[in-house]
Amino acid sequence: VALAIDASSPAVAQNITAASTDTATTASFTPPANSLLVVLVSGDTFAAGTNSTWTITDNLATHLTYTQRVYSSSTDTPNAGGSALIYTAPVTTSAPMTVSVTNAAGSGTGRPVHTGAGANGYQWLNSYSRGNGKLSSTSGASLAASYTASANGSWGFAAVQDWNATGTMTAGGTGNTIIASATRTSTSCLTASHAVLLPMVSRVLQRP
Amino acid sequence: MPKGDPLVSPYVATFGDYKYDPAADADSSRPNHAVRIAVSFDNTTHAITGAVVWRAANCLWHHIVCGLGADGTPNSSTFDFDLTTLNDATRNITANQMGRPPYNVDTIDQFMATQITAY
Repeated sequence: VALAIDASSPAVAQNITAASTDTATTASFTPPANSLLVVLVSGDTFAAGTNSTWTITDNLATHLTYTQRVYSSSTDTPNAGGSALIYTAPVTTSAPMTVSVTNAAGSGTGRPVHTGAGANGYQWLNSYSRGNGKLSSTSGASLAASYTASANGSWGFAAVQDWNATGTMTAGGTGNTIIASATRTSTSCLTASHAVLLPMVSRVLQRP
Repeated sequence: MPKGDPLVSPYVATFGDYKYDPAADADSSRPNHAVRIAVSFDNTTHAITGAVVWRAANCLWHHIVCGLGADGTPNSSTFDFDLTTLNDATRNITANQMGRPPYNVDTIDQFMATQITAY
């Protein structure tokens, strides 16, 4: 039976407030036993060239074990704003649960209004596969990641952050698709009073 | 690190299920396998002028919810747009309705002061 995204996968959760710490929590969902939870996260950072502190948890009495597979951060060259991360967690027992991801400012205090750098987008793209690749750009209109799949019929996932919100995102290539998006119609990080964009989507991979 | 652009109406949020594929949608305002809310507001005062919710008949989700409920999950939040009766249809919500319980929001800033998701 082919590997597939399970119907139990929850909707994207997003949070944008002026708080120094923001959390997005999915609605309750029940992944099947022996599945893999893939959590795609993108969000803001609190100052150029600095990182947020990201944490992930769930509401289970015994939490799942989450592994951060890749983290494109603001300290990665070329210091583009925003973050994109991927976590995975094996699910051995089926039970109703929520997943919460928190973006904390850490030691950052100032959240200066960024003036941007031209018309092109600040984009992050994380691809998790065998290579856990990541790349970013402060000028490119698109990013392309290549990897060698670990097996026929496997799935590749990417978490993307376009800090500059240059437009509606599309997925290039053959067979690629956007499975969830928190794109705004005009801006992503909004005004100074809304400092954090924290969209999160969880997908459950099921191999019966 | 806020981008610094002004907030421009409308605020739109779309929540797709596991079959959501926006590239296949002929009309992005009526996405398949998704629920959607578009909140319109005055760009100067940020006062909400109304909202429109959409639910595709083939979407697994029936609720758009803001904030968390007493049990810490979005599912029990009272800030709930119940879309159960919508099948490939939209529903208008007036500014007056948005300002009354259970929503109690008059500005887009108040609306976005909590998280949002769907189930």
